[in-house]
Amino acid sequence: MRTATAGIASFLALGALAFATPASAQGVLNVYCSVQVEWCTLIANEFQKASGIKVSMTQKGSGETIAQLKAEAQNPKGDVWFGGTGDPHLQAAEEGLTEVYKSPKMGELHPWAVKQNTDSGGKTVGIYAGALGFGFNTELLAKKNAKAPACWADLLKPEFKGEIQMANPNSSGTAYVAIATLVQLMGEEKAFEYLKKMHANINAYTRSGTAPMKAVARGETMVSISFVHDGVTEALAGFPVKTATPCEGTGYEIGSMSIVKGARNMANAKKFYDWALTPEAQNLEAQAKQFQVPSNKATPLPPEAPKFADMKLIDYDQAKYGKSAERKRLIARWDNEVGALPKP
Amino acid sequence: MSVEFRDVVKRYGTATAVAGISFTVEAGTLVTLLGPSGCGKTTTLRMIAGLELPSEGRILIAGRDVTNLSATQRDVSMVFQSYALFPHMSVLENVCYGLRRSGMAKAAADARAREGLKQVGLAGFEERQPSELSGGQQQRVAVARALVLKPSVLLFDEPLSNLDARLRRQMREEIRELQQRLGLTVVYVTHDQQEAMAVSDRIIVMNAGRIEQQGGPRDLYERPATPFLARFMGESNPARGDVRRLAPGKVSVRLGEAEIEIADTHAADGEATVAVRPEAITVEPAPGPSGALSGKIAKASYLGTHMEYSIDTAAGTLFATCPRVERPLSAGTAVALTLAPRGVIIVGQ
Amino acid sequence: MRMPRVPLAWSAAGLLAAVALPWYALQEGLDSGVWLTGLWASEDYASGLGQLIAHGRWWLAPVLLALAASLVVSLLPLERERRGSLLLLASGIGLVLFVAQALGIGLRGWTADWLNVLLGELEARQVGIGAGGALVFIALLSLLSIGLALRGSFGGDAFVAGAVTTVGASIVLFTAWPILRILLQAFQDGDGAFMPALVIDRLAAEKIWSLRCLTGGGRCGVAWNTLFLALGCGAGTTALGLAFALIVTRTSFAYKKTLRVLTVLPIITPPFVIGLALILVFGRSGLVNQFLEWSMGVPSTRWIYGFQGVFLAQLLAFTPVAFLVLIGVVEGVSPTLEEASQTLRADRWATFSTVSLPLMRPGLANAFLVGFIESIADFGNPIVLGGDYGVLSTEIYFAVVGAQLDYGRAAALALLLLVFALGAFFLQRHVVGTRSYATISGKGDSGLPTPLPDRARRAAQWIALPWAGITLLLYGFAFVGGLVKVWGRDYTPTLDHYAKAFAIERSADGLIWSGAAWNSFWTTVKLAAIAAPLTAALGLLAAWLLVRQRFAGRATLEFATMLSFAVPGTVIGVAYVFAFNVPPIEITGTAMIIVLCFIFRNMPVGVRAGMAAMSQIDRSLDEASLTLRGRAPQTLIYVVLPLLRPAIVGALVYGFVRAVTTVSAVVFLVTAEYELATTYIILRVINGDYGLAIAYSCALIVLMLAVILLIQFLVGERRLGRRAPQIQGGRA
Repeated sequence: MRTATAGIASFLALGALAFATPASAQGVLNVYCSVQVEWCTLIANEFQKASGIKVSMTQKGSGETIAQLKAEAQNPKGDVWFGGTGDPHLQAAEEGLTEVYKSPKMGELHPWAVKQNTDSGGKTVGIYAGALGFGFNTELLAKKNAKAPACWADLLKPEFKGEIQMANPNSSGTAYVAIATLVQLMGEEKAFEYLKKMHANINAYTRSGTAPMKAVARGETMVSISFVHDGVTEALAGFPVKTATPCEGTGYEIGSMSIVKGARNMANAKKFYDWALTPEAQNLEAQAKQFQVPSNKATPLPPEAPKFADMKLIDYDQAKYGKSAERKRLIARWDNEVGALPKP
Repeated sequence: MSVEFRDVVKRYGTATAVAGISFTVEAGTLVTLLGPSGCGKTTTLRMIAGLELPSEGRILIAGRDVTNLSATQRDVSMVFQSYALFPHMSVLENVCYGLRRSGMAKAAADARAREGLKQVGLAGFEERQPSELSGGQQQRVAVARALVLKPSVLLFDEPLSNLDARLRRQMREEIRELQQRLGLTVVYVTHDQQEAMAVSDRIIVMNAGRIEQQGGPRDLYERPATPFLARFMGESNPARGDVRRLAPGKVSVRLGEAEIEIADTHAADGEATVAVRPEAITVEPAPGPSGALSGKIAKASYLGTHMEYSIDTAAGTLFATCPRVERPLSAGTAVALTLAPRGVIIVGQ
Repeated sequence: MRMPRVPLAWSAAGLLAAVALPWYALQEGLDSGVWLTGLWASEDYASGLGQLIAHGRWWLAPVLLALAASLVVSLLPLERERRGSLLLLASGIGLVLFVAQALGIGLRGWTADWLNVLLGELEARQVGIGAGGALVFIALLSLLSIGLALRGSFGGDAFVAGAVTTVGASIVLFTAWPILRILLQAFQDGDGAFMPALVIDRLAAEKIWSLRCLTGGGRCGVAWNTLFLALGCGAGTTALGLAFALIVTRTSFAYKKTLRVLTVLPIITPPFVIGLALILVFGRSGLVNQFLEWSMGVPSTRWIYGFQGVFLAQLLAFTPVAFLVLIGVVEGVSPTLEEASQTLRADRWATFSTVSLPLMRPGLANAFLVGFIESIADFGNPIVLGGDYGVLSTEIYFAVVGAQLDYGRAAALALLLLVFALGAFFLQRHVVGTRSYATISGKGDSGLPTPLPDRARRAAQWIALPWAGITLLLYGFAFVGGLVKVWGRDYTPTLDHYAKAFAIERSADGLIWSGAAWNSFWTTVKLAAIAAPLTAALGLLAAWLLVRQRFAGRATLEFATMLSFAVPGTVIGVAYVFAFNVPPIEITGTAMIIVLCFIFRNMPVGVRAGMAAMSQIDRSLDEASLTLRGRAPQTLIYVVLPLLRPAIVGALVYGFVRAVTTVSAVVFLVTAEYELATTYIILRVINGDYGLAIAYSCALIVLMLAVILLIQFLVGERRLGRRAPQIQGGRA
């Protein structure tokens, strides 16, 4: 039996190891972070310095985060969800996974950030915005003697046959923003006509939203439909990437932030929430080489960042197109009418 | 120490390996479980060892109920058919194994193990690997390994089946000698009737999960109770004959034209199954004495020590052995057979 | 008599745990010690007894009573069987009620509506089970096994009984329960209502079963995509594996050792590396396309994305596994049989094709099965190279994390994947059975392996050597990729990526591990080092039970051990979050859940290896030890384990390597505190930081090589007699 006892002892030791969650119930904050890892790290470290609260940060895509929130709904482990496309935040609000909070900083924000808050019934707020557009590889364009696309209409040109990548809306929020933008811009029927025609020029509907821009950077495809700020990051990394926003007008994402419903560290979560809306916190974005537009009006915009003033932005109806039902309907329609078409 | 089985049954799923057996092995004796393969003798042995637990019934060792005790908790040890020497240990380590596991200090265990190896004549082989030993030596290591534990009961599972004929005889004599010298209680499993007769105080013959008959070697050979036993214990010719009681304890059996008077207390008048031992048949060229069974030799073989004949008679084809090799009879010869009464046994009616 | 002391000890330990340890899990952790003062009064820290009396948790009463009853039974002078029956009764009732209360009462009172209706609202609630509760559960389980053993089950051996219940209970808890939990989702709608018809809808979808790619009118369903890929991968890896095995064993090829190393490399390569390297070499701006365009003006294409790319990557990644399966089989074909064939007027080619190959058939089927299963469970390659070629594993992932967030669909697809995997298992079992023609007998085969006929040798070399070349090329470029600034743009040599990941600075306080990768690196090493021995131990213990012990439910246990192998990692990961985020077992966010995931996901291979090795060892060796006073655990330690050294090395290495390289299963389980190397690498890949990702991967490969050598050194070689090709008690 001695060996059995040893077995039990080791099992218990393992148990003790696992049950040992970090000490001190005060002064802790668990952040689910859905922006780039450098940005997440900066945010965590700077908040810890500013507040003395120990930050435990987990970097995950917004899809993974909402999956996790849903799975943990009965017993939440995270306190704040920072960043990531607005739609999953709206969805989380709709499904009651997040908490209503009105920050005192709300007055300092751009109107689109506040609108995100009102659209969600106070459960989320905009922290940055990024416009949808095209990324293109200048070397490949030159090789093919093609002119850079400037309008949605350009993407139907024959010289881009098999040269465009966009994400699959089934898996990517970016692609859904693109479809919703086209629907708002052209009307639903015309938008789907357009998508069907563009299908001939698409070489792949990737699973991830950021993949098309990476493909452009590495010369795997000539043109992508992506968020333009992602292109800036690639260009700074030394790739021959340029971006444009469509002349007809374009939609945008609102990167958001929400407090998890039933958060264990609610007070700290609110402190973080307020802090993240200050210009000091939002400056970290540029430090992390990210180029979305910050939501606090007082935050200076980095010089490389695409400026909203230079673009023609549509009045994106987050409330309508953020709803699960509408989203499911549009994606299903895309699936049946576009996704199912034979490969050109 | 005695071993006792009380109505023990062992089932595997729906198959019954042992169908309710009871027997006792007296302390200090060597008892053999004998039977054809699949008769349940090995299962019975393993139930004594505790390697199998019975489905029903009780097992007692030295008067203590051990029915549900595991092998380790019983005071028995076993010599396996394959010897089961641990290939990663030296001879000495093998013999020490049981002592060390019972908690004996290394030095004491070593000394005892050397003693045990000396007992089986293997002093000087301590540091060898098992694979460097001959079959007989491996066998002796296995015996020494079991013996040094001074078990209440020592079990042998077909220990000689992997040895050649000459070694087999030598080893079985050694085992018997050891058992008698040390007064061990031994249960021995074999399917070889000669081996069983050579080593046993008592033999338990099993067939199809049951005990067919038990008794001393001589009892079983001379007074087999069933045709199976007559066939299995030595060779015998099955024949049909007419029985007529002459007196209490004495009957006459008619086989073909021969009539033999034999001692028997049970048989009733009428037809009976009779076993005739081949060595009890005397073969002479016809015509033989009156009352002899006449026949014709169908086949004759010379085996050095004796002749073997197959003879067609009125009582069927009989198989006979004849020690007279100097005057062999050839196939086709008409012969007369005389049957010695001790070799004619009524085994069923 | 030793026995009564054991149940006594377990009852006492259980009672002690119920009195002196907090019943529920603590947020602060057991090592914080804060609970010491609150064992009675604090509702958070109270022990079982405290919870029962001071905090009105009446449902704990029967559990504690069962322990007390066991204690009394152990103390009374009773007959063996009687004591066993009573222990069985007490602990059985205790366990049933323990499980009932644990499942029935959760964070918000009763967990099911019908309980509310039946028993009225319950005010009290309970969080996850802590040290006290867990130990009480283990004590009850042990008492149950002792009771069974006393009554004569499991050969009357309490250790065997305990081992069976331990292995069984842990597999139920950590494999069967989470998988069942998530598969149940397939039958539920978004709000958790039970709708059995839904699963048919979900499974019958056109997106899954469409066959339009064959008619030329569109795309095929993911189910077919998965099947096509798996069949191709199974066939391809088997052919390649066979070619390698033949070259290594039957030819005088000069670089056999190099080939062997090459076949090990993909196994210890973190996921994504092969996919990335393929893109770097064969992508549109990869070297091959660039060269073709530059030299011949061939316009570069994107052929690598889609079926072809995934297929190629899987061939590269899984051929080694097929090779490892087949080399034993090829070596096992008895040369004597081949010599016999040649003396019967068959030439070398006829011998090879009519004797050797058919003898390898079961092995080939096995290798095919492994390739098939690996392919359908593969996640890393399809996600990097799949383009829009979707397979079930990626489809499941995106159903969970994608824009649709449909757990029901994910679960339904997981069900389908499970059916494929199990179908393959059963097919293999029924077609080939478990028989193997490759016989290694104790007689020592004096024949010499016949060299391959020229035709077969040339074919094998033509297949295998280009493959080896491609592997070398890919690894070469991957390695270089970590040493240049930006692959594809700026080929300036640099050590920046390594410095960024693994910098160590010297300061007044000593060394500062300032590299970005250190945190995840040490966590990975630590968790893998904890998981590997446990994986091996549990796997070999299970194998020993399955091969050597006869008990009811053996076949079920065997099936259950294989279950988690057939389920793709993503499903396991999500299943773990679902099952272990809520009481009674609340361990998400801890290191324990990651370790458990490693253990139960990788154990099946240990079980298989152990079973194979153990069935080569004569059973009478175990029995000899048992009759020589060696108790079951001693038999295991002194006799079985020393003879199993190769299997132990295999299980340890596999446990460690898989823990380091696994990704899909742990994506949902990692936290900032317990971040793993692979998840860190993925983030770098997603951010396009290929240099750092590759540098980190190379470091991991070196780490794993070092660990493999270390394990080999520590466990050592099996010491046997000089002769003895098969381990059989003494008979050489």
